[in-house]
Amino acid sequence: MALSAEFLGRTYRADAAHIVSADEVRAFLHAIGEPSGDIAPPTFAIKLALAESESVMKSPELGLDWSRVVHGDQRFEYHRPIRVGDALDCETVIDAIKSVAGNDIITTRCDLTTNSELIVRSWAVLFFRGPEK
Amino acid sequence: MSRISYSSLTVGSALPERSFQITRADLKTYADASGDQNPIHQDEAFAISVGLPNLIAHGMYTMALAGKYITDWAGELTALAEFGVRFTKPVIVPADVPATVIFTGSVTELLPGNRAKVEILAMSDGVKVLGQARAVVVCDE
Repeated sequence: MALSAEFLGRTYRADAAHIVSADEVRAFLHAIGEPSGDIAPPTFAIKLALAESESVMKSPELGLDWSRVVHGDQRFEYHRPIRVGDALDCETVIDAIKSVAGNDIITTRCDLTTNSELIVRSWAVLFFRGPEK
Repeated sequence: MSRISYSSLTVGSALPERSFQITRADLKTYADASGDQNPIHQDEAFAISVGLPNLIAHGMYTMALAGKYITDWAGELTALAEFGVRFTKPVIVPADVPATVIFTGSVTELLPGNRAKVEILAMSDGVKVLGQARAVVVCDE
């Protein structure tokens, strides 16, 4: 069943700020072949953004099946780099809802902020494949 | 650290071609680092059971490598102001040989504030795996 348009613009805030640890930045840098450092690489924000999107999409009111998701598009806008020790608040907004041929196509926007200063804004387009015919 | 010089760029300036290899071990490392433990990136039998041709790389892993391609060229990890891609086709990672992703790119627009827009192409096994892959790079003067 298509997701109701009433969820458009719905905003969700993560319960607590995420403190960026040296270990997680090092692990992410290592995984993509970068030398160790204290500054996170450009796609590190996805670690927080996608986890938040997942928890929002799986919430009982939306009830989407995360196991059927395909990541369609991803975009980031950088205001300053994420560094070890940053306390990042995460706000997720349902930015667009479409239904095409039984698939829900949902755009989520995620703002990572610290003390209300915007650090990274990102958008993910998520395709939820409908049930097999 | 220094970044690429804006004055050295023109529309059409090429980013040197570069290729990256992706093994299944790399996907496990990326899964652990990113928290994305979707089995389609780690379990071949599961991937096939949901209709995929084989185990596939995380789209975000391919995007991360694209980011490295651009930021290495730009000279600094923090050089991007914007970065976006469309995941057009998956990168298929067989068990026995690594997948290869080949990146090429060029400057498509020079913007005020020493900013350059670049567009890149990512190919794997002859297939375009990222579409509309663009970034805005903040350069040195």
